[in-house]
Amino acid sequence: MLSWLVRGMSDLYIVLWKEIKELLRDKRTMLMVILTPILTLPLMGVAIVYLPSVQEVTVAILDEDMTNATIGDLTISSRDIASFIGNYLAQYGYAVIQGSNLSAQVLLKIPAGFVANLTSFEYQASAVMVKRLGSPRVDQAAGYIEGLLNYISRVVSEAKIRALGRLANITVRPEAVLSPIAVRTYMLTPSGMPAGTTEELKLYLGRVLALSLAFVTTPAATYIADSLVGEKERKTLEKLLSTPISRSSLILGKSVAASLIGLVGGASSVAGGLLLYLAPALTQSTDVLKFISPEVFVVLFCSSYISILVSLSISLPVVLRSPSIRSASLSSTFLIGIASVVYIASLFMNFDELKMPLVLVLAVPYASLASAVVRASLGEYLRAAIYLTYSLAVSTLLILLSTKLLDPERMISSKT
Amino acid sequence: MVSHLASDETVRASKLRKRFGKVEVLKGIDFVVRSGEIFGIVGPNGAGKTTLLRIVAGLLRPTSGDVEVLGYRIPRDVDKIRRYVSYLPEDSNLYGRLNGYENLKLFALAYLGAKDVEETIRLGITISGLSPEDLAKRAETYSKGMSRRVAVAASLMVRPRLAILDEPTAGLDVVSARYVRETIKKFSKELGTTIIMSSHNMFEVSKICDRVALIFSGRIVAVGKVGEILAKVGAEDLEEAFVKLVGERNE
Repeated sequence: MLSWLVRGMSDLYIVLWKEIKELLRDKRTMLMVILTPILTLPLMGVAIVYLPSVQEVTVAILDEDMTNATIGDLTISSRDIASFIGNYLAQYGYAVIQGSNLSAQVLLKIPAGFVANLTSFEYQASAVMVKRLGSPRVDQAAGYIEGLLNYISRVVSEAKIRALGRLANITVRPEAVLSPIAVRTYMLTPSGMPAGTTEELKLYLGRVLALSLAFVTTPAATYIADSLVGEKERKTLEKLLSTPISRSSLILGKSVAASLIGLVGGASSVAGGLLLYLAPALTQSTDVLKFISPEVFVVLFCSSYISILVSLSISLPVVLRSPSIRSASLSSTFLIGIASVVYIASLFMNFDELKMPLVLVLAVPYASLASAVVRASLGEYLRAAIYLTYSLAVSTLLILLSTKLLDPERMISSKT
Repeated sequence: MVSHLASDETVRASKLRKRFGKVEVLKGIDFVVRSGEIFGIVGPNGAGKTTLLRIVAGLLRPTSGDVEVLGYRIPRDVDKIRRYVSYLPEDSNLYGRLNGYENLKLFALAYLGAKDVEETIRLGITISGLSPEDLAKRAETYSKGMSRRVAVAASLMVRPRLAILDEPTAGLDVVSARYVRETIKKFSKELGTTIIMSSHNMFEVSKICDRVALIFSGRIVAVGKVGEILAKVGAEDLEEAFVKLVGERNE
């Protein structure tokens, strides 16, 4: 038993020694593993936060009314409305033109008689907004304008209610007329702890970090395909299989080597995640740095590494039956696709809050890893640890089972 | 299990058949390889040489028949056999990102663990005949001749009881092929290693093999010392003997 174990460890060392030497000399692969998350994650941060804010959008406000009127204690003019909306939009970087402009992406027209109708008790004032489709920033400007007009509408309504109250000689509070039902919203974390906008932002950033796991899946899945089937195509596999190195040591050694790529990828993913936080801070002076929690990065790092093991454990049985690198890579690509779908889905949902039987999707290790990062971002570290442990156990078990699947005859005889 | 090997035998195959799907590649092969000899398997492309060697190396399972290597049965005792048998596949490559020395070290470690590794590598360096400078270069920079010299060295340096060499000189220039042939002959005797080598080069086999088996279309058509086969068939060289034997079979 002891000699079997010693021999197994010795075989594992030999395979690892070879794989790591080859790996460290494959500088292009190493660079890709390191640079992919470090470059793409900050770019994602810039794309999400910075780029939309600097997109040039022109808003024209055409005041055809040019009048003012009084309702109760409120005097209102179309010029004030135009300038109020214009100044507000200018604060958010929109180019605002007072007057008609054919090239503007958003046009707000205040028609003649607008203020008269606005201040009357009989008529409804209507403004006209024209927006060009195709840009989220245009939609955002239109949303701002609608919000501002609603605000003005509310102020005028309150003035009208006060005026009617005075005419009827009764005490009237505008809120009691306009919003007879008040809703007070309190936020809680999924585990029931009090939460505010800070927790909301942390959760959002946690979801983005979970998405970053998709980047570390790719190199290891590709590497294990190349490591096993590639040896056949490079004509080194047959000789290796004929040596006394045990088949299980061969698979385990290659898996451990591939997972080391994952370790490097995981570290890069954490660095990329840090830069993702930093990017908006640097480009927009947004202080998102205060939302960084070291524990979240520890969980992200562990999730990255385990995500690699999961990919290896699922791809190994397929790769061991693939006749060529192309076929093995296609299988790996399919796997990466599944992982990406799960990680992208984690942007929009909590897997662990689905109903039966859908909650069983949590048994897919990718889903539990994404959930671990999301939970950690909310400070639920115990739950995150449970998800990590589960994924680690499943992937290790699958890798050990895969060592039984290596069939030299199948690998040697299949046509590339 | 009772071994059917005689005391001077290393390999014995009887009624060996191998089928891949509908294609039968080996159609009932019987042969014996004696300890310490260089046994040549000669035949044209597609005759079944590589399949036969892969079975003896434990990489393929026979469809039927018996194969015994060093007293162990194939495929049952494959894990035991691999400790004493080294195999050099046809057209196999070295690990390109490792240098020549590291390639030798890999196979020394694979067969011997940490034991006697340095001494084994020194023997490998001697067998390869390459300079320390060449061995320090990455194998991806080697010519085919250099690669083959290191590969043959890696197969022999571990002092296997049986070395299986599939077309060890295929694709080599005259000088490299001559070096490999002489190396096999010299070190098999020095190390006491039994060799089975395949080739479709009749001249090569005549020069270095103690006994040969002529294989054609999955069957052995003649086996014995070269001189014996030539005398039996009435031919002047192995090529002529082969053509006569195959012609008879075809008729």
